[in-house]
Amino acid sequence: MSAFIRRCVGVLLVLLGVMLLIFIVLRIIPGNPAAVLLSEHANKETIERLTASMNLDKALPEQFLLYLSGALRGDLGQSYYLKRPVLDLVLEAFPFTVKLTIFSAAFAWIFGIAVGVISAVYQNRLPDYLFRGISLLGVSVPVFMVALFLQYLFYFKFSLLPLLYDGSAVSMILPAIALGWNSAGSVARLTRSSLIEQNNELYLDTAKAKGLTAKAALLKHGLKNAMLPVITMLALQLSSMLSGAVITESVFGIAGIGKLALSAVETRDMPLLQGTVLFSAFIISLGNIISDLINTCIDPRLRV
Amino acid sequence: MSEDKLLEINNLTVSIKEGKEMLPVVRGINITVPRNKIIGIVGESGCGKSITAKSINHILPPAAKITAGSMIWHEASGQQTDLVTLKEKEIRKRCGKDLAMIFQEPMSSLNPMMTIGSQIKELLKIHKLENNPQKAKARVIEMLDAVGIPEPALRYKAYPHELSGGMRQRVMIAMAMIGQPKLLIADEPTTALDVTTQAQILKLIRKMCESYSMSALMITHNMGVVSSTCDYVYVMYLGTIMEEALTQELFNNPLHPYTRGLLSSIPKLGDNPEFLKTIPGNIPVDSKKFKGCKFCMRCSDDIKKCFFEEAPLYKVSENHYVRCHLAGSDNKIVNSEDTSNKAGSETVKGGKNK
Ligand SMILES: Nc1ncnc2c1ncn2[C@@H]1O[C@H](COP(=O)(O)OP(=O)(O)OP(=O)(O)O)[C@@H](O)[C@H]1O
Ligand SMILES: [Mg+2]
Repeated sequence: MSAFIRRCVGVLLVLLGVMLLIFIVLRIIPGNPAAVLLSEHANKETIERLTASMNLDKALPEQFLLYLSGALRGDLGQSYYLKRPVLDLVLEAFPFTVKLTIFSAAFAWIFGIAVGVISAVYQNRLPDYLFRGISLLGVSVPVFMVALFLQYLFYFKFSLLPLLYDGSAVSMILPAIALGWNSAGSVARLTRSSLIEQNNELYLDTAKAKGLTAKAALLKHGLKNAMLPVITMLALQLSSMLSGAVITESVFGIAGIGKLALSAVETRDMPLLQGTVLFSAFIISLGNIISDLINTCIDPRLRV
Repeated sequence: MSEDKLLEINNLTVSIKEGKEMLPVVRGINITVPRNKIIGIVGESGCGKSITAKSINHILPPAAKITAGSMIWHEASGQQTDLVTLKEKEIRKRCGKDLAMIFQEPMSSLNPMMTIGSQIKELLKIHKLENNPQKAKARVIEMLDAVGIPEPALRYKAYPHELSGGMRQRVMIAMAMIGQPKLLIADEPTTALDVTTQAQILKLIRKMCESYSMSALMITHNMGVVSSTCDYVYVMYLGTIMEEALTQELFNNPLHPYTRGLLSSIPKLGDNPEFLKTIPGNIPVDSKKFKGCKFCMRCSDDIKKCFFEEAPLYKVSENHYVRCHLAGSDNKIVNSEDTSNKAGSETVKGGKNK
């Protein structure tokens, strides 16, 4: 339990670091956002007024502290461009991204693990070669290509699934596959190698000496042991999924965090960008904690 | 030793693929395990003891293949089965029920993710020995108690990492015994344990053999283990049986220079540890073309013949055989390679691997 609390404190520190980092990075970019926001013809006075109201005239440390205290009160500032509180915008977009991530993570897990297990059981036989080819495609094709290909195949060619996300579960299928594709490939490859490695473990000899066939021993005893690194990896996959979400959400027209972040970049909307990055960091940390918890649950050696 | 046979290993040859070549690591050995006896195989590291053991229940590493020989299992009914020819499904039906095995590494031989109780109970389920989960659990706890695990009901839920090495080996023994096998293959069961625990485990194995009328194949590199447990012992060197005899006979009258070397390397009380005896030299690199005695490079007796011709197994007495020109010809006994090759009047040279 104390380990769990330690992890939570760790997450808070990570978030603080992320805030500081993004704050600094965004301030390094030249140009006065206030001037950018207003048109070229705005007079000097207007720009100064806006600069002051955005706290941009204060010293950097003071700006950061102001931002931090705001964040603690749940105030992430006002979007320059959309003229609405950042927190509201992020919270509105959040459920879409969560839904997309959960669906694609589920796809990556189920598909990736199944493919990896079959590959390992039929090591160096036809199904293995086939699936290894597929998972190599999985890790090497970029998200946007997968997305466009899926749209071409399932909408234009066979018109089986909707082109864009419309709120229905069916329209979530293509985005989930597009975003989960890469992770499924990595999960499959790691599952395969991790399971094959178990063959060198002595407890599998014990299982066979007890009367289990090689295949049954591998599935009943090896699989659970082989899952530990896979679970750890999925937490890491979460960060690549969030960056992939920027593209997937744009291609499929999903109003999630990724799309919000992209529009924030396009409009140089600093508070909004800060908000989306902060939220992503939070999700990734959460994913790490969850994978730790799962590992603790299935590995008795980690239990206190 | 021809009376009530349980397992008869004839001319067993196992080769391991190394690059493109198949190197024999067990070269045509003959071992007989009678009922209710503990048979020892002794030899230094790498001589092929584990490979021999693992070929019995088909858990050889993928690179290893049985290239010749048979392993005849004698049913009490008189029925005979060659274990070598069995398909995977058939041999697995016997593993755990007829044949059980315990291993050298109690630390890694148990699945770290499962409680020891459920790992033992699994055997009952595999062989449908007890379908009622409650009764199965009770049987497991009873067995844990029988192998000397304190508070067995509590330990049932323990994970392997929560137990000491000696306790884990007891768990392995419980797992082996719960199917009431006829043969226990024990591959260096005490090597990883301290001396006191070692003695307790050996005593436990002996007790189990008696109370379940079970035979055991005790594999070890330790002559002390042989003297305290085995009825009959085979001395193995580079995949070949060099000498075999009743334990008492072997200790009283060791004939092969290798056996003598093994016996004199047992440290005795009062020995100066600075001068502990070892057999000089290492196991030589194998050469297929070499036809001489495998031990000649390390032998203290320097006889020309040994470099060109491997000795046959000479019969010294009813309970003592030796594969050595010197020791054997002194006893002027002719070769007898057991029953398997009656036809061959000439001695088989260079082992039986072709
Ligand atoms: N998985 C494997 N792959 C390749 N060679 C192997 C393998 N296992 C064993 N060998 C080789 O087979 C020979 C016999 O090995 P084995 O394990 O039977 O020795 P051992 O007598 O049991 O020794 P130890 O006392 O160290 O357990 C050794 O020379 C070893 O190098
Ligand atoms: Mg061994």
